[in-house]
Amino acid sequence: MENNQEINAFLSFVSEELQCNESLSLSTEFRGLAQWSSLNALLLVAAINERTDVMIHSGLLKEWTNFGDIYSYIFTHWDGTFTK
Amino acid sequence: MALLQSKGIHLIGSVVVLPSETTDNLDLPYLNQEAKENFIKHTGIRHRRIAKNEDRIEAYFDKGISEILHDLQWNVNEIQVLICVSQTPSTKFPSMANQLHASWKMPSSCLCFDINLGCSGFVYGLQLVSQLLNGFSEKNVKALLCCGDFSSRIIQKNDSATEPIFSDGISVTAIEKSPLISEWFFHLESISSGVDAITYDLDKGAMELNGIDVFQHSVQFVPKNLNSLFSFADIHQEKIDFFILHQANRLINQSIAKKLQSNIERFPTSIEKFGNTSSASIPLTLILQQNETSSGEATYCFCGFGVGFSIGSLLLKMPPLKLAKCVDF
Repeated sequence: MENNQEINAFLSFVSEELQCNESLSLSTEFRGLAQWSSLNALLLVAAINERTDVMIHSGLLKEWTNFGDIYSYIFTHWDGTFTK
Repeated sequence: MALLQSKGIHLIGSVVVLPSETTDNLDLPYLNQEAKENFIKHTGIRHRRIAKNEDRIEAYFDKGISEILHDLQWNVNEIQVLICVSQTPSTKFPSMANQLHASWKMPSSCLCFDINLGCSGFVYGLQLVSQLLNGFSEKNVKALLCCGDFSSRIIQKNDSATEPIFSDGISVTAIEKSPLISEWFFHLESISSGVDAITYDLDKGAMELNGIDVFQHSVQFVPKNLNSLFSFADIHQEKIDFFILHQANRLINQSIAKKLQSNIERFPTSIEKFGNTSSASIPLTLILQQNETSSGEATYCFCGFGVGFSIGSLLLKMPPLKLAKCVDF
């Protein structure tokens, strides 16, 4: 339950940063989104760093396909929460 | 890390020379209106200056030197050090410094050479100039530091990762060794993991920029560099009046300010009107700040960062520049 709340809070954070109207899940492939661009990728990386202090470099992003990859990486490097 | 100190060196004045024509990022043909507005909102870059095809960067340095010598009433025979920092000379050799030395008929005792550096180049140039001037036994030895690039010459047309960011422009800065008291504290670093963040693609004949890696290295390493500098100089960052950072983009500079827990109002900017002017961006921002704020002596922190991945920071206290001028070519 707590994990679902955290996932939803993370997806809501991502959705807000990407100004995305579609419903997102951890399995959503970010490159398939209309909003995905090099600038928006950078803005998301910057927003994640500001919120969590976790820094994502381009090599990692290249390997990943969906928001679950980003979520897992954040929570192996950060013990905070996206829930307000 | 290289934490270094220089004494008795003074920044006297600086002139920036820019192309006269302005390009508006809202006119970019390959982005839709929403993408253009989004780009401007987050990077802060609206207008840029692009040199004409027939312009040569050496002619811009020449104009900058002319303005400096005239306005400060310096004699060309007094110049003992002339350094050019650039990655876009018109020719591979002789060095731009040697070309300018010859055209201005500077004395044979004047040492001159070029440095291949980008956005960190102004601070590296100041460090080198300060060391060289300290080596002279005479007082009041004078130096000119020329910095800047014609970045448009190494950018692929319609490359949305680079073209909307960079501007052309140069600076010429007058530096003097004098008996007056001054202390400069430097922190110079090279972060090898960022060597591929900005590269030159030989096949394309153009710059390749990885925006995420530039952001990562800037935000991860620049605040650490500055905090080490503050410890070395034994100063609290609250005592710094102005942070003049390289104008990479607004997102990077705001993130650095947040990491330093500093008020963004102490970070003057030139990026909206002039874009990223490579190693000329610190003197350009300093000139604009000096012309907007009439203050007495102030404590400054300069920090350049970029291709390499190279970081150079300088902490200094100085009175207002005797000359702070921005001119069109």
